[in-house]
Amino acid sequence: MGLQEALAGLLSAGPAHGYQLFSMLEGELGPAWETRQSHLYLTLARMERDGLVSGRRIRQRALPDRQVFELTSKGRALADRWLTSAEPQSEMVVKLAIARVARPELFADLAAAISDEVAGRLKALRQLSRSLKAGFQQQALALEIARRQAEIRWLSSIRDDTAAILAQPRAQKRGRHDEQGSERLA
Amino acid sequence: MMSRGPSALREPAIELRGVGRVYPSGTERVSALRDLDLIIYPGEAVAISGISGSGKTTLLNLIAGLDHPTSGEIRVLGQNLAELSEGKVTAFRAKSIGLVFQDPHLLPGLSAIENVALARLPWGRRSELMREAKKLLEALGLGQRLHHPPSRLSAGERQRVGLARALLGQPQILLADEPTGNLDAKTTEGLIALLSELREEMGITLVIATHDPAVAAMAQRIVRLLGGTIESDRSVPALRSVDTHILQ
Repeated sequence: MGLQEALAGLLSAGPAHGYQLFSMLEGELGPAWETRQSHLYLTLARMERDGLVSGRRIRQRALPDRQVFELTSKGRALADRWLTSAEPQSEMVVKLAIARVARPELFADLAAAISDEVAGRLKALRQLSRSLKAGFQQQALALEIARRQAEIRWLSSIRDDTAAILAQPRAQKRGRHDEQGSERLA
Repeated sequence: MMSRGPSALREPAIELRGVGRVYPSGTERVSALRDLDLIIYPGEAVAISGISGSGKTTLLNLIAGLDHPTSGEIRVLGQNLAELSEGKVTAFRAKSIGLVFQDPHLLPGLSAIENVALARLPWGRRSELMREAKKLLEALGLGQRLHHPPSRLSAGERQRVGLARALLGQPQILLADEPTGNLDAKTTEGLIALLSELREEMGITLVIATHDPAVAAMAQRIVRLLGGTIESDRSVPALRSVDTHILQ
């Protein structure tokens, strides 16, 4: 999964520190998706090295300093590209989850664009399935067709319920490092 | 929003301008369709999708001339339906439009071939109609079921008889309202394959109303209705390749 793109997407709503990003991903996506905290911090460091984010240290009263990350223009371009493209299909759940919290104005168009793409794939699979008869090919394709069907039905319900989905409050996980009264970032 | 490909230069097969349909409901008036603009070109396959009550069936009934708009204008194959008498609309529909419904409503006392042929008896000679019905049923894989009554056919076979009946007389437009509504997943895929082949071979204009987005994906264009208006009108991209899993 493109964690780098996901983090850029989240940061396109405004600066945040690593744990905030972690808890947002965990809170929004729940048990079906897992983010490794160590991987997330490593990815942020790599993004800083590559000029996608810039970090600055914030001093806290009782806790260690925390680093706050902000997108550079290069990072913002990456986020915009990712949140407006239907590809890759394997990231559709994460993309829509992030668009919902970070860029709700892109959510409906993104869902429609992904839906078009899946419909095109489903059609191509059906066309293939009409001509392939050998071996186990039909059965192998039938599963791919069923998967695309499930996706397109799921996307359609997302599109029908867009207003309610966007109105749903954020499910941010309460982190043990959150300090009351500390600077509000996102 | 309106999808226009190379077909934009051709005369539309179906054209709706500012179409509305209001039904009285007690003391209230319910708008099933509001100010709808839609152009469908010859040979296009268009899915009308949307949840129940979004206006799909009303739209199909209006195009078929089974119902009349309370506002706006509908042209089918260049003909303004409002300018025709009831009888002429019926004759026009019989000649130019095939209709497929969720339930094919086959007559129980007649065989498959009679169900196909006799629906058009007022517009053709019996022997010719029977010959054409046989050809169609055979093409739809029902060559062994010609003389079976509907009670001895499966749901998928009954729907194919309904499709053969709709295709008799080679209509230019096929309107299908939830044609897979009563079918299981496998039979649904079979019917989708059949409709796709028919469209490619006969160049028929296909309008299919369905609440199932997986069925709608068979079309070239998906028009989503919401509350009687067009929420979106988008083309399904033509992809040649499929994703492959790599063994490693």
